Amino acid sequence: MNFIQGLGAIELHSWYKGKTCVHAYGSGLKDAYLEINVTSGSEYGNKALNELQPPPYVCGAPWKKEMYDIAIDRPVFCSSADPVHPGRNIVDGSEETWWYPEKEREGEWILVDLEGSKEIKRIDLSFTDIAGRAFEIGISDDKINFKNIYVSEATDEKSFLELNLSNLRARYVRIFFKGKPIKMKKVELWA
Amino acid sequence: MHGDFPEAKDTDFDDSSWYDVGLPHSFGIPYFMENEFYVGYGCYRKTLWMEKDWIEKKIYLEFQGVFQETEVYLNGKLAGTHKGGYTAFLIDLSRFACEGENQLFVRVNNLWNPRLAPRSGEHVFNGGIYRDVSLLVVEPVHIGWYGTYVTTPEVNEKYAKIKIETEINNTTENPISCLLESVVEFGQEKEAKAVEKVALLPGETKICCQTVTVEKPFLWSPETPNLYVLESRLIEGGNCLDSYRTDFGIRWFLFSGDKGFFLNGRHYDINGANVHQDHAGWADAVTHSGIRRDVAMIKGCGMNFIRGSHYPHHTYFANECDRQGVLFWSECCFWGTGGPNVEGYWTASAYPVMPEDEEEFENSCLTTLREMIRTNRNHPSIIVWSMCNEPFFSDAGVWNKAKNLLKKMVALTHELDSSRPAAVGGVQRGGFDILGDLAGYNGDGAADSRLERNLFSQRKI
Repeated sequence: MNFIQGLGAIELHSWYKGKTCVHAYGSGLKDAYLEINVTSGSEYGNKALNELQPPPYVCGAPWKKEMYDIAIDRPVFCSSADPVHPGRNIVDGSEETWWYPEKEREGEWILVDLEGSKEIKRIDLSFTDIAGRAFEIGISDDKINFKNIYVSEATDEKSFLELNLSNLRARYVRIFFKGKPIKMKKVELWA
Repeated sequence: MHGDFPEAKDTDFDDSSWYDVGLPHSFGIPYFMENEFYVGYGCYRKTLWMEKDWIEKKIYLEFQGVFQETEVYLNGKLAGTHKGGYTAFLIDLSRFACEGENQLFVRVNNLWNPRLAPRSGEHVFNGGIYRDVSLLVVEPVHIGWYGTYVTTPEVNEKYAKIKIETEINNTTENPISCLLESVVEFGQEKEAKAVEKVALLPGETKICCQTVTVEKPFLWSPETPNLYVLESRLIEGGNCLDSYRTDFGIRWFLFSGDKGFFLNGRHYDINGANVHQDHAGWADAVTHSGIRRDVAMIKGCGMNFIRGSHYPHHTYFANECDRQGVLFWSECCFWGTGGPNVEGYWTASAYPVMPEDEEEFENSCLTTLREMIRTNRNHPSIIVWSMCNEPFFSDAGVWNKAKNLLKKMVALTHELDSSRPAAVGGVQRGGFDILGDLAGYNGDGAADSRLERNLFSQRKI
């Protein structure tokens, strides 16, 4: 049974030749019977088998005490870019480079793809100049539906933003300029 | 059984509480794409029956893939080891085999190793004997394991000159003279034949070269996946010492920096996807029919290309790409991933940060590359060997060393198989993209300026 024939969505492995009958039942449902015949291999012979058990433990990536920037060198997409100031500049770790769109117009945006849903503890933005323009930070897991987690004030006087977060996971982080865009030096996503 | 039991190499070890498993197996079963997985040791025991007349022959155990450090014992003696989780290897059991029952013990671990590629990757690294295992019994004089190499130095629609290189091993203490007979067939019809005398000294391995011509070849392409068969036979005094079958296809292709990809003389658009090897529930323990299905799904939705991300796939995968008609990018496992670059887990720098790890790590990449090419070089579906994925996710201080390693890997690829280009995969950052014949870009793609400078060479293959 496999996806191709559309007959089912499970993958079975057989270790012995012979017939296996599966009886599926549930309250309020008609019983179903599935007979699986394996025609090659050695005979089962009704011997007692020790059934494979799941592993005794699992482990993940070790926890790191200091936070680290998980946006470095990740893919960047944007509404447009000046050829000399491409979007990837915001994740190159450099203070000397920046992104700017092709034209100064409303509605420009830039987005970092973390290539998987990740926990983010802090977002740092760095601009070449005092911000003073309206922008929003949105997060998404599908690049289509964005949820705003920060809305700036047009009267902001800083050239950077440090935004501490809690319980936030996302794959995409987008900066959207409601008004005219600002040159962006860095987007750092700390985990 | 999960865990480390080095004493289980002894024939009288009590394994009655161990799980009964079949192959392919994975430490991680059942596995459904969780981020956490089992990291540690797993041990296997099996009784092998050896016939009396095998004992005078060469007996090998072939593993198509074990993740990722393996020790193989027979009757309590260490027969061989292997490091590397994605390529096939051979263990010689001849020395320790005896007639009747033999106790096989395989000790495996998937511990992270700073000196073994991959050091990092955005995936999981379940351990175990997760691909086929076969017992090979051959005469002491035999055709080498994956010992044939078939290329077409001249090919067009009218004829194909086929160059056949066959490795012959004489493991005896005597010189030998024999005949190597190579027959090329299509649909069970003989198309060409070459016979050559071969003389080998005791213990010698020799590569014999033969050339035959096939008129009006049936070309291989995704639309017409025609496959030829090479039957190789070693004959001594009228007796067949060994026979070996190689499936291959006749095609030619060209990657051009400004005109694109050409297959069999015509421009050909490539449209495909990355394919990882694991399946729901079974982790990496995927059967042949599972592999067949994966390739069929790609083909069924209109694609003609698979990137075997990001490690050498089962050799059966390329079999299916040949048979069903899908172009294949076969990739080695010099692999990096974004993240903290912490030693000790697969979130580390792609290239080692400790100088004492460098030499062994580089050798692991070169060895895996060598094994990948040797066991897959006759597949017509394979149009490129890739060295890496996202190696720029290395500590910045070792970028130059990472680049030098890639140059060595590219050079080795050219040496082992000049019929295919050497690519660098996932090289959209850091200037890694000029190190191979081809570059693959993930995510946001290539830097425009490099494309405009047309740095790619044009090679007709």
